Order: sequence, then C-alpha cells, then structure tokens
Amino acid sequence: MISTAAKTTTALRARPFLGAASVVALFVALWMALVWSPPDAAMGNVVRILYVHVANAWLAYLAFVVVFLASVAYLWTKRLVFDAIAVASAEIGVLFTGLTLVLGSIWARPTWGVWWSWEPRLITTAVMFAMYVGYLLVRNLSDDLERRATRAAVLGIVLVVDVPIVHLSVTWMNALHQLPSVLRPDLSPTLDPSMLASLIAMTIAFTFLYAYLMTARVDIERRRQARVLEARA
Amino acid sequence: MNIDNLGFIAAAYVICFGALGLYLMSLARRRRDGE
Repeated sequence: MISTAAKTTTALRARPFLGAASVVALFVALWMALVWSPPDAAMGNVVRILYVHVANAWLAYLAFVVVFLASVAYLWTKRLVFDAIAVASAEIGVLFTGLTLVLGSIWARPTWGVWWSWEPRLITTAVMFAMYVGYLLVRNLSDDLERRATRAAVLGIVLVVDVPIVHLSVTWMNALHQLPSVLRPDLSPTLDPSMLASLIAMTIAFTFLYAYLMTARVDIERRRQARVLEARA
Repeated sequence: MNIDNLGFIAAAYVICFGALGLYLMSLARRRRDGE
C-alpha cells in the first residue's frame, strides 16, 4: 500500500506539461477576453468579467462531478487513491465556486445595480458552496482513513444533486440571472462568435489549470495517506 | 481611451488570479511542510 502511494504516477509525470499548458492557455485566453473580444452592445466592457465568472462556474461543476465519480469508485473498490482524488477535487471546486460568487457579484453591481439578489441561481450556488465546505469539514471528524473516506464518499455522492439544480434553477423559476447562453437544451449558443471563442479559450485554460492543481493536491493527499499507513504499520 | 467599468473589470481579474495564485502558494507550502 505504501509503495503504491509513493510510486510516481502518470498524472505526476504530466504535471510540468499541465503547468506549462495552463500558463500558455491563460495568456492566450486573457488576451482574447481583455483585448480581442468586443464590448457587449448592452453591457459594454463589463462583459469581460463573464469570461472568468462562467469558466469558474463550469469548472466548479466539473470538480463536483469528479468528486461524485471518485466517491463511487472509492465505495466500489475501497482504494484510497479515489478518496485522494475526491478531496482534491472538492477543495478546488470550493475555490472555483467561491470565485464564481465573488466575480458574479462584481459583475452584478454595474449590470443589475446590486451586489447580491436573493434569486434562484445565486441562492443555489451559495448553498452548493456551503455544502462542499461542509464536505471538507466533515472529513476532519475522524482520524481513521477508511472511516473518513467512506463517510466522505457517501456525502460526495449525495451532494452532486445540487449541480443540475444550480444549472437548471434559472429555467425552473423566474430569475434575475440570465438564462444559459451556451449550455442550452437545443445546443445552439446565443453568443457572438468572438465572445463564444473567448469563453471557450478561458474554459480550456481553466481546465488545464484544474488538471494541474489536481495533480499537485492529489500528490499531497497521497503522501499524507502514506504517512498515516506507515505510522499504523 | 475610455473603458467603462474599468475598476470592476480590474477588481474581478485581480481577485480571480490573486486567489488562484494564493492557492498555488498554499499547495507549495503544504507539499514542502509535508502536511
């Protein structure tokens, strides 16, 4: 088990590539978002905030789906590597969700005239943030690796229910938040092509960054697991 | 050149990449300290 934890994985070998790809992709995406793409006809230049706001929101969805998949894989196999993947993805997902809320608030002030509105998308996103902060806190209730991983896996499976609720909340209820512009049921984005390209570029850059952060965070968790197992032995 | 809402745009990007930078630094520290 310890040798498994210590061995170099393919993901770790990919880390320098992922780091370099993140930096290059972020420079390209920032140039597209801040220089190349035009101002919006209604919002003006404040639309540029949406490129990072939406990319953070989509990566938060991805991170929590990865928590769900890793949780199912842990309960299925009882291999601690899946618990490491789940906690790493939850932590990064909480960061992305927090940034989604803050960046959305900064965009809302000049657009809606308020920093915050108690409307469905904002409330469900805030609830998702609180639930995954809770997930990270619940993990600390036990020092036993297997017990903690099992409890966390059950929670990681249940909490993913909020992801589609967040995304579909704007279509279920009257909302101040705009309807989806890209991830629509009819798969036909309503964005200007240059804005869509900028958003896709930022999302690709954040996906590389997520993968890089995952390799670093999973490595830290695997080392911690190896130390606990070593001390137990 | 006059860019509307420049303060909000700058704040958003500084906060976003500042937070990501701080998280990267925390990962490096945790790895170094063997947490």
